[in-house]
Amino acid sequence: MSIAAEHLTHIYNPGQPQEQAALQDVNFRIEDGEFVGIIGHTGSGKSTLVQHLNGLLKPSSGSIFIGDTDIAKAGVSMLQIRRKIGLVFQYPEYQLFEETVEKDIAFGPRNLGLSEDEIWERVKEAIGRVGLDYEKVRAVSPFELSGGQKRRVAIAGVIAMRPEILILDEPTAGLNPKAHKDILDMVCGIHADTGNITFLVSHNMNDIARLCDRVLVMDHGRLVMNGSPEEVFSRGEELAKIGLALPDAMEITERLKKAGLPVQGGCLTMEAAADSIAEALESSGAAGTGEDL
Amino acid sequence: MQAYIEAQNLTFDYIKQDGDVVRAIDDISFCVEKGSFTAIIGQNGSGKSTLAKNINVLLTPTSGKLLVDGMDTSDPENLWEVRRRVAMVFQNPDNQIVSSIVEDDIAFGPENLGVDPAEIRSRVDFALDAVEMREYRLKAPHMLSGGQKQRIAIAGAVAMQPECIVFDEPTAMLDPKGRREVLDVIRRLNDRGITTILITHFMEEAFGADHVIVLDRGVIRMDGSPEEIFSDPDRLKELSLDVPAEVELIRLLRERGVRLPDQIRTAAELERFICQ
Repeated sequence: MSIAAEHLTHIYNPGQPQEQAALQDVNFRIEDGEFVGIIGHTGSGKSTLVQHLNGLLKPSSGSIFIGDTDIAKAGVSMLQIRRKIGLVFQYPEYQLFEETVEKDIAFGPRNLGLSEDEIWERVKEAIGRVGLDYEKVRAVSPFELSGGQKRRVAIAGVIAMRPEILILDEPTAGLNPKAHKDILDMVCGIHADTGNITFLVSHNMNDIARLCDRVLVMDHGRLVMNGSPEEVFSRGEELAKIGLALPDAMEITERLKKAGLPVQGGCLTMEAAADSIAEALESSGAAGTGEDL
Repeated sequence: MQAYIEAQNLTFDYIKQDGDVVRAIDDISFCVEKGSFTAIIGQNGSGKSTLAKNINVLLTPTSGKLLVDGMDTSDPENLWEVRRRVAMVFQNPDNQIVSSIVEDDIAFGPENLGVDPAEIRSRVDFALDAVEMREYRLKAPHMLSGGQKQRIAIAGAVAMQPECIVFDEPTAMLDPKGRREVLDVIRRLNDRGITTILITHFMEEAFGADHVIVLDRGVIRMDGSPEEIFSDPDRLKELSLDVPAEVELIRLLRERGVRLPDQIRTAAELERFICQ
């Protein structure tokens, strides 16, 4: 399964004074098993793009291919498409509504018309996948859980649909550092186990650099970069112009480089930055690595 | 040094629908100095927001005491005096904006206090300048960015002329640019002498405070300067927290045998030292 956009354009309020092009001629192709980051300033078109990927919005022109099917065409069964594509909105825990965790997670699969056995098997599996204890949480009200747990339950509701393409819009917003890491580890675990395509919309460049195979950069409705994290983050000046920052590790090494330390650039993680700074210090003999100060 | 907020064995219980008691804050004591910048960090459910609501008297202690500017918040006589001194800004700006025009929204608080119209005008102008939003004063709030909306919410608090503002995760829903704008405004207000309490999940925001309190399951686990708090990454990780990126880098460098003087704690200090 692959997903591709061809000349994708979306115009809000066409023909009216408030007419606004939210997406303009966006083209990309994502293959099976890729982990894709989407970054861009607020208002750059990220959310509009994501809502096209599962057919919530229809393009004004252009196509979106899921496998060989152009979902922008009339007569395509959106039910079939939405079965394949799971979208986790920002703050998904606001969408919890059922009396118990298991009922909430069962809501999606039940709407697919699955058998009872199949529904409960999926619920159990989804709860496990998001790292919760099935026996402990199944009969609990989702509203009595902690913020991080609520979010897991909300994501489980999407996972239970077994989507081949999983889209997450800022899944860690508002979480403490550990819950943040747990949620992303969980997303990576699901990606590794199922080989799905995962889209991660995020403002956190550290996460994007660490996790993604490919990064799509949006600006004013246009796709302005499409490449590996190494490629995209090597264009720091262009990113700064469109209001985006570098990962912390690169930000710091770039600053040291400008200040005259012969440090290797392109460090996406703090570990890599520390290695390359330590190496540069050793070879330049500054801030001695051997002698006591 | 003068304590502006003082908690003495403060305890707060929520009573759930089924009658169960949940202890959200468990016998904590601390002081916040007048004019200081205090960050409160802790994982989700650690009691941070409950504490904030106690400071603003949206809640009152189940037992123990909370004093604001020497006034006991449990005494109903003090309710309005405390609320006049302490303003609050919440996470989601959309839930705090009540009017369809920016300056009307900022005037809402003082109007409710029955402030004289000329005085309201001058307060609104002052508040607009404080958050650098004067040019947007006649705009509709819903047309603004998240960071701008949050600055309007802060201006609404400033127009009440509080001595203290409690910010409950004011940047959680903002993009990086919005976060910077809002933090700049918070720092400037603190520079003007407003006692500032910032609840946050962003370690780098807490790193810039004068004083950091770490809450965990209703109990204070750490209380000290940011340098003290962030020098113990293992302890912070046990509490589901972390250290700011620059602190992590300095730790990793030391681990790799790079000898850095003890006093180097920030990226700027590291840069100065390495490149001297």
